[in-house]
Amino acid sequence: MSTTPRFTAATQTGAGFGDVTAHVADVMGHFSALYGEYWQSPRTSPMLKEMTRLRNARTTECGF
Amino acid sequence: MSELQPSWLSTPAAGVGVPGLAPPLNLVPDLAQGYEVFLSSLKGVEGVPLRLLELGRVRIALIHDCQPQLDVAHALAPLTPADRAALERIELSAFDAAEQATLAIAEKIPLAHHDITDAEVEALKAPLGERPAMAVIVALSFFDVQCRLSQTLRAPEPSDRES
Repeated sequence: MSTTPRFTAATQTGAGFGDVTAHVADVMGHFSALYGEYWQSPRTSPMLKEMTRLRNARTTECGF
Repeated sequence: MSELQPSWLSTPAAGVGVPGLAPPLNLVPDLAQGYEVFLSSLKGVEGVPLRLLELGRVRIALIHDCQPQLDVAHALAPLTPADRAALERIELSAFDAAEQATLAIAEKIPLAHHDITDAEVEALKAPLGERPAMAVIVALSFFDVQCRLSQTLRAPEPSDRES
């Protein structure tokens, strides 16, 4: 797997995930709204959501 | 077979609604609606042919053997029987450079995303440009999510219930 960025940052603030995906800022804005809605929803506890997020990241070997 | 058929071409903002959304996902209508708005926004990215997204969506559905997604056919990005056959046989020569680059990445997104190479990403950026290429990769990633979600939420089929 590559260790060098494959896309230039679309912002002046850095080269993280959000800076790179800002190439499609409108699309990712919709995703951020959805993701925020999910995390703020009281249907499931924050602990359970974070636990599953971390487990998924480990399973997929994702640094997030 | 599940009724879940989230579509990147649906237009909930126009009141068309979510096609064939499964009852389980309707339990969280706000999230279902937000997802459709997000996915539909991909078709508005300039320089991304709808056909490109549809080829990637179908190829990923084939990899997952995801029948609900394979049953979806979009009138705005129709694939011919020859296209479908070429996708089933992984005949990349049937497609142009941008389509081949899209399909090369689609092939690895579901089960081998760590194996995607710099060259494969460059091959996508070359004909499309950086912004459209980013949109294609985002779309492919969520087409993979759709298959996983669809297959996880599927209603038991008669044969399942009998066993």
